[in-house]
Amino acid sequence: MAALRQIAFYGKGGIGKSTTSQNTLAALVDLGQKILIVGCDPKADSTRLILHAKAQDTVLGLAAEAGSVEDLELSDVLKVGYKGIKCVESGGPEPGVGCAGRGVITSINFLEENGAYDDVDYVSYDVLGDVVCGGFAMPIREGKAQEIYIVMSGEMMALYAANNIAKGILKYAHSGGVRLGGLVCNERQTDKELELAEALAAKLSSKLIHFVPRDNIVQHAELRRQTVIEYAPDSKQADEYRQLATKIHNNSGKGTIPTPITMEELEQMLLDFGIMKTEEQQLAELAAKEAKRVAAVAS
Amino acid sequence: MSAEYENDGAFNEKLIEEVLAAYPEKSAKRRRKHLIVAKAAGEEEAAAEDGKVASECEVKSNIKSIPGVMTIRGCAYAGSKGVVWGPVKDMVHVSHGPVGCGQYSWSQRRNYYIGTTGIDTFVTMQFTSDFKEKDIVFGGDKKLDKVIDEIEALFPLNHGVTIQSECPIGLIGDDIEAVAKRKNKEIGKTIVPVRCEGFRGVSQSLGHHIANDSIRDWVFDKKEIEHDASPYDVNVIGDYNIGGDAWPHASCSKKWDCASSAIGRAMRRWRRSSVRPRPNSI
Repeated sequence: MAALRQIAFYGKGGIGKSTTSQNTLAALVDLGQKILIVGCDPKADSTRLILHAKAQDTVLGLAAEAGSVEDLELSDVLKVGYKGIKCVESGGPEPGVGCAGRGVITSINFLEENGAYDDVDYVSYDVLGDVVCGGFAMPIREGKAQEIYIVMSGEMMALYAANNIAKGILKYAHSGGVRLGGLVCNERQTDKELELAEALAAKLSSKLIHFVPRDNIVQHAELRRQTVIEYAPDSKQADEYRQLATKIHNNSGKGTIPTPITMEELEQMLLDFGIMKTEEQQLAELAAKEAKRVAAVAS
Repeated sequence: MSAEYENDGAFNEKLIEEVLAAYPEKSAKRRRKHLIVAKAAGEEEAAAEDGKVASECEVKSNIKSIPGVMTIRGCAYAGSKGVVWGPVKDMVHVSHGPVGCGQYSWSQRRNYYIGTTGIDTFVTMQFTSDFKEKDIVFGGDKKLDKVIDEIEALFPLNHGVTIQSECPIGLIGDDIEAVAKRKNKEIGKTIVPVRCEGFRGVSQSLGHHIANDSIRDWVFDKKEIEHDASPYDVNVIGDYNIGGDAWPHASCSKKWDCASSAIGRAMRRWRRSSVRPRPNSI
């Protein structure tokens, strides 16, 4: 029997991790894989499209009611959704209070100790936006996720966030063996998006594993609490996710140790792609505009 | 207590009622479970034959402390550092976090032991990583690394180091297991990371459990031990030597000429079961 594959999706907040991961996993289950999704976000929205509803019973929510997490049973929090995909949400505090990072640690320890990882082929962690503290790096410690997929886009801040996350992965790559599996670009239709994504992947010593085109059908499916695979299985977008699923499935053991770059290098890269104009170019453009305006007034 | 002690059951029962009458009703109900009259000799055997329990004290160990019902106990750190690991005299126990926990548990409890403190035994010493704001914000593994190096340099006769996590370690998610593994490879000594943050569990009990689990996971089967076995060896698990309790039976084993080793010097408390306080016995 193949060893348990553990993957995690990281990326800037709002970039599409939960959407991308759920759609990809819905395609992966058609390749005959038994899957467990572990939501590591206090918003508890990592499994909505698989369960067709927002998860009500989160590990931490129930633990708070029962008294402590030691009083909880796995069956209380493990739900089964689309095509038998198992789902668990960590849950956590509402915005502005408490410590969500600690919540993720507690929740993942609970799952480990209670045999959630038995009888599955894939475990997928969906982690909230910026990895701001040790707790959110829990899924990439030793014995957990082997490959990280960073979801990004061609927007500069998304690129910067992806680079930042690579720094966190680097730290754990040496002590625990986690690797960067690749970048997934969610198209935002910014300038030269594909080339930029590939360039950043190369700088990080990784690869752009897939470029997911922007398609509103994803939103239509989401409104109905479904993945595109379920809602429109014959659509072109569904095929894109199937391709991504296959690529990830074939990517076992092929992750790399990332080589994060500095802010200066990142900005230089954007300049090289003609996205960011140099100061001379900007001043020249301003001067040209001004000359035009003067001419218009004079005539 | 002398062997001729007369147990006046009726008087004791009246005494208990008088005490409980001063409590509010809800608290009285809870406190009543802790005050039981033991049956007189003879009655005990009769009750046991009937299959009934002779006397059952209902003090439970692994439940939440309730104010006013005198069930106050320490936290998980107390259970691990104070009760289980602290008395292990030849290892250094680092209170990993801000200085308060270590400071106020300095010297340990009932700390009799044989050895030269500061040279080969360290029980009554305070080792802390003295977390400051900077360590909370930026993480403390580098500091921990340095702490272990300094311990090796200053106290080279130690038989290992344990890392007793205080509350902040669990909150910021420091990876002390990675540090422990790395230092073990570097210096070749037993380094045990213990996740005994104070907020874990409902009371001290989980601290005992966590500490014992750390012995199983980080001490057992990790080193080759030299030992001349005999057919009369006795392994004692669950022996306190905090107040010199272990010395009598060590001298007994000398008398009987057999080896006895106390593993972990820990008392195991099983979760979710009540523990009747029992006298020290093999």
